[in-house]
Amino acid sequence: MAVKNLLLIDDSDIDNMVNRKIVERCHFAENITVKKNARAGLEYLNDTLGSNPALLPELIFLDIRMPDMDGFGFLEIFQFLDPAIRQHCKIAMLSSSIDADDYRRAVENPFVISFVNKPLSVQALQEITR
Amino acid sequence: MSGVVFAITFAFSNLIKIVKLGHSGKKELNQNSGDKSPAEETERYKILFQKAPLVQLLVNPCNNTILDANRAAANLYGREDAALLIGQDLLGLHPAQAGLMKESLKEALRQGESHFSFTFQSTANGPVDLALFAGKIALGKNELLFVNIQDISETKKAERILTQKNNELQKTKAELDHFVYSTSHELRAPLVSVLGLINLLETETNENEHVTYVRLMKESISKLDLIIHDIIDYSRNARFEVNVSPIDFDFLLEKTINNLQYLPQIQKIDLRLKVSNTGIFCSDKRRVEVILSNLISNSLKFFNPEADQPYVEILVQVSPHQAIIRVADNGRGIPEAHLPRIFEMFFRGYEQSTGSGIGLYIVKEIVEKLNGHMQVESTEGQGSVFTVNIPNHPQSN
Repeated sequence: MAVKNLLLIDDSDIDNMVNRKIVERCHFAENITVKKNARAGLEYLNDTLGSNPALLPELIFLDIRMPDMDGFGFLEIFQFLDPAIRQHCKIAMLSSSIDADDYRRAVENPFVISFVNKPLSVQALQEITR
Repeated sequence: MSGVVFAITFAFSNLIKIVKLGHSGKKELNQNSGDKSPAEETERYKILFQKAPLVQLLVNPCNNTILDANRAAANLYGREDAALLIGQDLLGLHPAQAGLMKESLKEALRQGESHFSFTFQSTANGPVDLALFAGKIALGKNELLFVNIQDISETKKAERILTQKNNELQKTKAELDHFVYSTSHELRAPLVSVLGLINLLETETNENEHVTYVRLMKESISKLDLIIHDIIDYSRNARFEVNVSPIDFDFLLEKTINNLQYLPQIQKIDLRLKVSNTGIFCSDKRRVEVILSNLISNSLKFFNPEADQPYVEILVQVSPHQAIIRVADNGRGIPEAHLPRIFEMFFRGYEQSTGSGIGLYIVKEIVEKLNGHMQVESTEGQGSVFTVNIPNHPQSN
C-alpha cells in the first residue's frame, strides 16, 4: 500500500467510481473516503482530526471544477486548517482541466504535490508515489 | 510636356482673374522662375493666405486683436467678409475659452509656439472641435502671432467611434476567452469520464461489471450531448435576429412539458398551468420556448422531495404591452450566497444537479435580446419564483 488513508473530493459519481476502482486495483490505499463537494471535504478533515486523527488521509485527490466551492476555494481554506492537518495531508489535483493557468495556480500552491489529468491511470498513481 | 505647362498656366491665370487681381497673368507667370515684382509676390502670398481652408489669423500680441483674417476665419465666425474681423479681440470671439486661449497666446510669445484643442459653438454648424496653433513671427521690429485653427470634428468623431468599438471588442474578447475556457472544461469532463470507464472496461475480468460501465458511458455521453445542445441554444441567440410571430402559450407550454417527460420526478410534482390571454402576443417563438423550457425544467429538477405537495406553478399573463411568465415552486430554493451567481455561465449550485449550468445564463441572454427583464425571489428550503417580462412585439409585416 502506498498510502493508508485516501480522500477523494469530486462531484462526479462516475469519476469517483472510476478513481476508486483504479486505486483498488493497484492496492494504492487501504481506506478510501469520498466527499462530493469541497465543503464536505473540509468538514471531514476537521471532524477526523477531532475524532480519530489516525484516519486523517495522507493524500487527497482534489477536483477543480465543482459546484459551489471549487478546488481552488478548497485550497484557500485548507491553508488555515489545523497545522496537524496541513502537515499530514498532501494534495494531488485530479482534474479534467488542461488549462495552463489552472496548472500553474495548482503547482504554485505549497500543499499541492502533483497535478494529475483525468482519467486517473495506474501509471499516474505510480508517478505520485515515486 | 508643353501641353501640361500650358494647362497649369491656364489654371493659374484663371485663378488670378477670379480673385480680381487685375493682372493679365500669362506674361508674368511664364517668368515664374525669374524675378518677380514685390507687388506680385505680395499678391501671391495674399492668395495663399486667403484661399487656405485652414483658419488663418494674424494677431497683435499686445491686445490680442486680429490684424488680418482669411475667408475660412470669416466662415468660422459667421462673418460676410474676413475684413469684418479685423480689429476684433480674438479672446472675445471665444468667450468660453478666453482664459485658455490667453495662456496659449502668451506661451507662443514666450516659447515660439503653442497649441491646444477645444470645442467651439459655431454659428453655422453648432459645436465643432477645433485645434489651435499659435506661432510667433517677427515682422520688422514688431513681434506678431499667427494663429491657425483647424476643424478636427471629423477626426474627433472617428476617434470616439474607434474608442467605443475598441471597448466593445475588448469586452467581446474577454467574454470569448471565458466562454472557450468554460466550454472546454465542461465538454472535457464527460469525455474523460468515458475514457476512464473504457480503461476500466479493458481490464475488467468480471463481465457483470461491463453492463454497468456501458450504462455509465451512455450517461456521460448524454450529458455531453445536453451541454452541446445548450451551447447551440446560446449561440443561436447570439447569432440570429429576433424572429417575431404570434405565440400560442397554451400550445407552447404543452410542447415544453411534453419534452420534459423524461425527468422521472415529473410524476411526483403537481404541475399547475394558467394562461390568461387578452389579445395576441407576438415575440420570438423559439427564444420564448427556450426560456420556458429552462425555467420549468429547473423547477422540476430542484423540487423538494420532503415538501408536502411538491408543485410547479406556471402563470402566463398576456397584455397588449407584454407577457409576464411566472414560474413558482416550493422546491429547494436557492441559498442567498448563490443568488448573485446563478446567471453566470456554467454556474452550478448543487453537485447533484444534472444540468450543464448554462441554462439560466441562456435565459438571461435571451431575455436581454428580447428587451425584457427578469426577477428572482428565492428562499432556501421554501422555493423560488422566476418572473420574466417580455414586451409584446408589434408584428413586422
